[in-house]
Amino acid sequence: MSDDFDDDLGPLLAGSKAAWSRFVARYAPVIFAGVRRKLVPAGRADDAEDVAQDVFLRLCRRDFHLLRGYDPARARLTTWLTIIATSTAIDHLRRQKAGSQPLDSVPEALLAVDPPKEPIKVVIPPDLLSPRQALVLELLYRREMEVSEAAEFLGIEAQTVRSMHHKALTRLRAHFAAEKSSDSAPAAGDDGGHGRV
Amino acid sequence: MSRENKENQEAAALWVTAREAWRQNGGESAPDALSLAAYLDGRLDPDGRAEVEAWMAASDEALDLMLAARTTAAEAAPAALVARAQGLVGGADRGTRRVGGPVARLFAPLGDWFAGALQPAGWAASAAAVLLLATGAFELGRFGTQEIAAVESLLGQEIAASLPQTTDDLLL
Repeated sequence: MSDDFDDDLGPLLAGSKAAWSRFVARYAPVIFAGVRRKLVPAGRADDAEDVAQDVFLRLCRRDFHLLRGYDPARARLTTWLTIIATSTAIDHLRRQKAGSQPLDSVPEALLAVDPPKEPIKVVIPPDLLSPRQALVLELLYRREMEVSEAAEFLGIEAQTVRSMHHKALTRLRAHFAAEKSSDSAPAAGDDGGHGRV
Repeated sequence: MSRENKENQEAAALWVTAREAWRQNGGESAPDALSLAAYLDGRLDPDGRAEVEAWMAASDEALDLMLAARTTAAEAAPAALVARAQGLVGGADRGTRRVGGPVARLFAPLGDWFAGALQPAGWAASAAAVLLLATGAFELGRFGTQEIAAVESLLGQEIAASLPQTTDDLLL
């Protein structure tokens, strides 16, 4: 979709009702889709219209304060609006979750907590993995993405993803192996600041 | 189970063990919405990209947001939503009302403030006008009733005078 308003939000920001109406007609489908993408899987599809309305309210309140922060040189308007819509939907779901059920109405059996198990604390040094390496592992193993899909999302080559994945696993294995050997050698009495505590 | 699957499972378990500990190393603050959009559009510089990636790697919610927003396929929006949203910016078309010039623009916020402050005054004036009209109509009505009563009284006297005398007088 081409962004008609990318180059000229001027009339809208000056308060032109006609420009606002055109803006709403043009971008309501983008905002509605962004909102629904988060609400539908959470079973809150019925809230989509109200949340989308909330997005428009955020855009125009305080004399279009939020919209004035948009810079066409930095990102496409549709992408920026999708981010705003998605984050508004996430906020909505968070509020719903927080206020959905009063504590008194929950049966006590459901509030029962299992006796705590002895936690196994793992310490990972901050520089063991770079954020991008951690993100690659997260995308591949927790989000179950294919290498090509992760590469597209990160804007890098698939080969780079494979290489980062390999390096990250090698470092983790080496770290845990070192921990294990220090645990099995209690006489050493020092884990070098890394490892289980 | 193939060797590759086994290795995958081992690697996944390794990451599950490590991820929370890795995340405890730093609390990344959320970049602004424009930086996030620029990341998805591939327009962010390397430092900016690293900042966004650190934020995504540190939080499930952050990664959820970016994964959900990476596609922008539009959906038909309900007409009611469009109409409601269009109504959020109402009244006269401010864009055509404003005049140019640096001085005019300087005082434009004052004009908006007065416009806002005068709106309730307009409603009050309308209410006062309606009250005045109602009072006037009531007074006119009351005056009219008195007039009619006076006229009726006069007519009554004239009619009485013009009537023939009582039958007793006539018989006598």
